[in-house]
Amino acid sequence: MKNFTIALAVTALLSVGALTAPALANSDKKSEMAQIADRLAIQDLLSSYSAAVTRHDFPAIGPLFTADATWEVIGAPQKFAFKGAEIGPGIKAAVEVAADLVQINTPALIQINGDTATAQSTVHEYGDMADRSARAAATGTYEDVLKKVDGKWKFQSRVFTMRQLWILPYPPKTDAKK
Amino acid sequence: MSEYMAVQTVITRYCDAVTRRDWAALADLFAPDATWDVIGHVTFHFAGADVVPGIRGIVESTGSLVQINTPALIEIDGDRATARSTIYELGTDKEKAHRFEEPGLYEDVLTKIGGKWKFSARRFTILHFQMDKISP
Repeated sequence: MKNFTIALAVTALLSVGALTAPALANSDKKSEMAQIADRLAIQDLLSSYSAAVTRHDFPAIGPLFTADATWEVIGAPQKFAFKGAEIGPGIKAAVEVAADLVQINTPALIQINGDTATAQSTVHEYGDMADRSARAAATGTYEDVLKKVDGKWKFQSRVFTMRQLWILPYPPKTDAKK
Repeated sequence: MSEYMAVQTVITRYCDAVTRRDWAALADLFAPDATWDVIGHVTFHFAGADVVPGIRGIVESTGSLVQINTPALIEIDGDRATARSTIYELGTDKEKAHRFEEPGLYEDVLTKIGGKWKFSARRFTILHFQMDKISP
């Protein structure tokens, strides 16, 4: 009788194990898939920002930020800092000093913690000044804080540290030393 | 994180570490027996413990250096992966009298060691090099 009881208990434990192991695996898988989806959504947000700047699609920029977000540039000759509803128009004014501006973004380093995240990425910008008097080229790094609002990732803050800035002759020289 | 994303992160961390001159972060990305090669108008070869000091010496010979990397083409086969990515380097000489642009192609072999992807080999082929005097 005792052996029979133990056998029943072991069978029961094995059954529980058999049921919980796949259940845990499924839960881990679900969590990993959610993490991957969040990372892709955050990278998409960063790339959408650079695409909007490049295309001068300023109405697309505001919705990428939370209502109380901040956007700041440091290390540039001119200081820029905008908050909330000022961000879209502020970026528009900053970008429109150039006749055209291309912003190339790199894949970001992303850390997710629940509904908040941080991201670091490098960008390269270049374009001609509005009066075509010169060509500007710059590089810098973005440090971002992101927040998931109603299921969508948005910028809570963007800080751009300018690392290089060159004002180059226009039209571009062709006598480059190789 | 998926394996694919983990490999992309190692490649991006490399460029971020070079741009920020974060040598401790750079050292964490290489296998102990890794190799690092440059092929082009200049050539370099470093192996093992010489890799990070070698890269550091090159980067610190510039006044500034920023690396822009594109998303990589990644192939994963178990604990081994290969990756190809294009990068664009912008920098100045030490005196900041000249600026240079240098696009090139990285071809990487990565190995998963202790659950973490590391570079076993990085080979950078310089596709173009241009240096201009910076106007005062």
